[in-house]
Amino acid sequence: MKKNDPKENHLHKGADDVAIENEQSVPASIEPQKQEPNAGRGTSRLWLPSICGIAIIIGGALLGCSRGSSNTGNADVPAKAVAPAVASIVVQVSMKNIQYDPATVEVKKGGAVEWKNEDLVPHTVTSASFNSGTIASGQLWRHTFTNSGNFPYVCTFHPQMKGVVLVK
Amino acid sequence: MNTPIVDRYLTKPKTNLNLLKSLAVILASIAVAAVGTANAEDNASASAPTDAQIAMIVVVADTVDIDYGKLAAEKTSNQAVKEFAETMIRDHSSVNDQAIALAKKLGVTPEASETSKSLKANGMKEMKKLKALTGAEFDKAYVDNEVSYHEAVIGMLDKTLIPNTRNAELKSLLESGRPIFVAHLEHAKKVQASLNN
Repeated sequence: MKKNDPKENHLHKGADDVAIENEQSVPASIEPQKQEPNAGRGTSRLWLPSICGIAIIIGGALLGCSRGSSNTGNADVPAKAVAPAVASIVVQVSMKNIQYDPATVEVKKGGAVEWKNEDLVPHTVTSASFNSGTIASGQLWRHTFTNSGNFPYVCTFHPQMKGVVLVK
Repeated sequence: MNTPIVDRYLTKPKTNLNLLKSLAVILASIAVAAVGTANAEDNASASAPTDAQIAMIVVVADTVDIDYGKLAAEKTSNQAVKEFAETMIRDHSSVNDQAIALAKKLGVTPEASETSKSLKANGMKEMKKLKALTGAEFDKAYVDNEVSYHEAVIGMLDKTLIPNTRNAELKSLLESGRPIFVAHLEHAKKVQASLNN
């Protein structure tokens, strides 16, 4: 379930985005459960004041420490991973009735698209720079876009299925 | 002038008898009509497949096309035909798996019918014919058959299977399958056109 968290995906992506030339796929969740992009946000709000308080205390403590310290105690989430909120939005595309719906989606650089196979048959999401492999009926596949541009894609099994991701 | 009381009583049974005769005629007519309707309904239900028979028709229809696909994938050297055949194997296997899983969930045991038997028999006949062919002749015969087979299956879905399915989940599965078979038909027609060029 944690793998499906859009924020976490983005954070993982951001950790090495400088070296990435082409898009790199995020491993798909095999769980057929519906993605809920808002899941956990309410909880986050409840915890926000506490987290801010702790952050201020830790921040104050760190300010008193050596500035050159490379070990912040939070190596999984480097500072550069923090990105504009809009980039963490996961755009959903359904694969149903041998169609991508919507066929054209737009995301911000750093944002992700998640495809859900709601058909009875397997599909793929394949472009020159990314390839989902087989997405079985009921499964999800997510890809984070780190470069801007237009990315047309097809289903290699069903040539009539075509889509495009516009990354701004 | 005045009818004696006794006579009046005597005439009454006559009237009742006539009334009874009329009633008997009406009842007989209703009975005949009812029997006629019941027979018509019996005939209708005899021709309409049950959900168990529909499940078997779906499984047989898928299996026949999987077998055609396996033969084609093995025999053809044409890339477009091979890819199409592989898609048929993959897609019909997936639909079959889900149809069988649904039947299991619903406690429905697929049941053979004249339609499923006929599909199977025709499938075997076509397989025999295809096995005897090679090269471009095989490709053409396989793809031509795929076009007509998918047309027939879509027609059967529209006219017989979807309208007669009683269980909502099975009906939904068939309705979800329809656009897939339409896509297969389009794909087959494209491959057919490429072979004819």
